[in-house]
Amino acid sequence: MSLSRDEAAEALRDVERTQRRSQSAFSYRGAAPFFMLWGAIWIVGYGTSELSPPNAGWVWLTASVVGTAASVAIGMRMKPGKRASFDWRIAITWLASVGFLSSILTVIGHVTGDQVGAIIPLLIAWAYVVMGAWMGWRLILAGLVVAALTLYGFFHWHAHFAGWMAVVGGVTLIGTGLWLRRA
Amino acid sequence: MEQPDATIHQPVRLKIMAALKGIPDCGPLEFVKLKSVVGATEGNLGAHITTLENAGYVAVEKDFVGKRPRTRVALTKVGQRAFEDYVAYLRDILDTGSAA
Repeated sequence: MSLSRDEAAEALRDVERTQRRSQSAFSYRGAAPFFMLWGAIWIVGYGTSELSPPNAGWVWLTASVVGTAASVAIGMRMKPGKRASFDWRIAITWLASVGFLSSILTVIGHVTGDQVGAIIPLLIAWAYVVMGAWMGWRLILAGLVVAALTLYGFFHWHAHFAGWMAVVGGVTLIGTGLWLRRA
Repeated sequence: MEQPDATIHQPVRLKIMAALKGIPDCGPLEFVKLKSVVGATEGNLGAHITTLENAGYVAVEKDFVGKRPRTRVALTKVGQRAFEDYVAYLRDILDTGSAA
């Protein structure tokens, strides 16, 4: 029982292809609950911005804190075969993102609520595309769809941009989460 | 390795091992997910997993999530070593034109 060079090369290609598919499937499954969680938060936050703007501030703040705590909890439960533990890399990534965004918005100066409501999803869409480059094409597609819907809503549904993001953006994130879970 | 490991030297079993080696801590991975990654039928995959389990290369865990039965498969330490040796054997063929 021996292999030719061609057979060995084909077997190694099979190994690499399978490992890539397996890594993607694992990453997708890990990312899915975060998409669904934040989709629900977008529906609540943007929905409040659309229907009850005076309450939007505290609702967004509460939803963001709840979302962050839930994300940390999900991340801690996800370590395969290990006891749940706090991952500082997630906290640092989160804090760096919030700090970066706050700095950018401070430097830009006066921005409207709708502009902030568009910039944040665009930054998130960018993050999906970058993560997708490492984890799999479905995240790239999710990022492109979120960015396209955000830009379309901002320019064509400006009067009801928050409502657009609640319904279209939130549902897209939840749908993406379900799609990733089945991958 | 002059002769390849006969247990891994089968395309579906090689893919099972590669799929499990590709994820953090080498698993566990759910049977359903493994089926879609490997692209095998349920019966075929089950038979090959049994062969790998008998060789000590994978560990199979069966439990329930709520009322739904779940089967998960993970690569054992012995399996990891065997897979690495097999990949080294393949690379050796590519590098030298024949197995060492």
